[in-house]
Amino acid sequence: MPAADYDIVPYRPEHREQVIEFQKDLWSPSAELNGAYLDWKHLRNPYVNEPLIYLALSGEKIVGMRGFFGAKWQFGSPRQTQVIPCASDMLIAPEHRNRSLMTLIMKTALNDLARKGYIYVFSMSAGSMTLVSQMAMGWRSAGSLRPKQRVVPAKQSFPAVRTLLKKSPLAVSAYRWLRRRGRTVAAGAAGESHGNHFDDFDSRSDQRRHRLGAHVSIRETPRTEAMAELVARLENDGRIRHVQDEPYFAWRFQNPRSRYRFLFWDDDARLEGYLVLQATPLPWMPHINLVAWESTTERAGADLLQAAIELVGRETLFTWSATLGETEQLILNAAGFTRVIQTITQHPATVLVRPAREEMLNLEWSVGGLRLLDLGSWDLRMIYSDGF
Amino acid sequence: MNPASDTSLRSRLLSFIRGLNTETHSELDERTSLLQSGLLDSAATLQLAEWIQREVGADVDLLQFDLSKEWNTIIDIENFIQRHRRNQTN
Repeated sequence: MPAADYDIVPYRPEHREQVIEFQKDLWSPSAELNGAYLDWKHLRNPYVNEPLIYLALSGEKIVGMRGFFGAKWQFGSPRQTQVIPCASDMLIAPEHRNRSLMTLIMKTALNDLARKGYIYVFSMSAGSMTLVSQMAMGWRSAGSLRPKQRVVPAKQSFPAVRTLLKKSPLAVSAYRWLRRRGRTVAAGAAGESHGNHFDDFDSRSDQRRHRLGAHVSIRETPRTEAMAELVARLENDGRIRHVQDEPYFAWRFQNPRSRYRFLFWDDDARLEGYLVLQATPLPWMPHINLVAWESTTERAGADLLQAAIELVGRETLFTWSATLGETEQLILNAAGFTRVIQTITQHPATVLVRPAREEMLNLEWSVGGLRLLDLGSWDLRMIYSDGF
Repeated sequence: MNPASDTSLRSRLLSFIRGLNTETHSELDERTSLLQSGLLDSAATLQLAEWIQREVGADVDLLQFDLSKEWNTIIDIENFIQRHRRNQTN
């Protein structure tokens, strides 16, 4: 089908039900969850007045989509702020792929964003295919986010159990039934809002609450005011980071596709550190992510990480390390985090940048005098990405 | 090595790209814009990236380049591969 046969249009309320159905291939198999996600990310986004979603229509049918969610960035000293949307939600219907439709949607979207006054767009959640395609369209990477993970080696099977399974057909049947039941439970969790990676975490948390120390506490909801106050108290080095005020925290952790656990470190009733863990109910996303970690002291930061490691048990912990400070890097390394091997086509984790206007492609890209393609200009946390 | 003389690489590349997208057969030559024109879609571009990564080796971090320029034509890609092969042998 030639490009002329597609209409690229901005999202309108009458597209809602089709978008929810269409995104079952990307967001989740659940229409209810997709509706909640669309509302949260685009319609209740605190930084834009209208959803920045672009749809490719073939006739009346949605066959492609590209969203940009509003994000407010701060940089420089004294602090300046600017809304710079982040690309997300890229999906082309299988029967319409390999027809340059992604290029067509992106060009239309960038023209419209430029017309609306946006100077740059960022991207932090692209998978391999979208990442490479974006780079082919002039997006540039500021560098690897240097993902690190802490993997607990798998337990060895007990030789005695193996021997029993070899000898006893009844034991084999029982073992298979237990495995099937485990898979059924996991599959149920995929489409439902209950059941998640934090089941074991919560159980351990209940058991060990008194052993996590006098300063550490755990909650399922953020302390938005205290967290914003703590961030404001931290030294601002002027690097590019998302604005982290109370409205941001209140909105950000309502993402219906994620579950969060909040670890707090208080001293004399004042918050001195927090660490946020994220997981998804989707069973094919295997690890728990450390998406935010701030503290006023080394001790608070180390205590929070230690508590998180104790509570996640055998689950793999994953985080971005590229722009963390030296102290945080040392604490992560000492805790057993190691670098994840990545290439452009495997486990890519990067921040992509592009000006909305074509004529800026050959200029220096910067905000507040900070070069956008220099990773040293950035202070990046996983919560800035819509992937978490 | 003179980049222009590596006919083996060029013909393999041409053959690979023709295999990616049947709609490009008649119009494709070594100066056809592959990326800036949107001729290669996302799946094809990813396969091309995997092919180039194999040719240059995993040690080359493709994230650091402006791929819209470095890989826009067959000649661009050929130069890219040869430059990075040379860097690795030096």
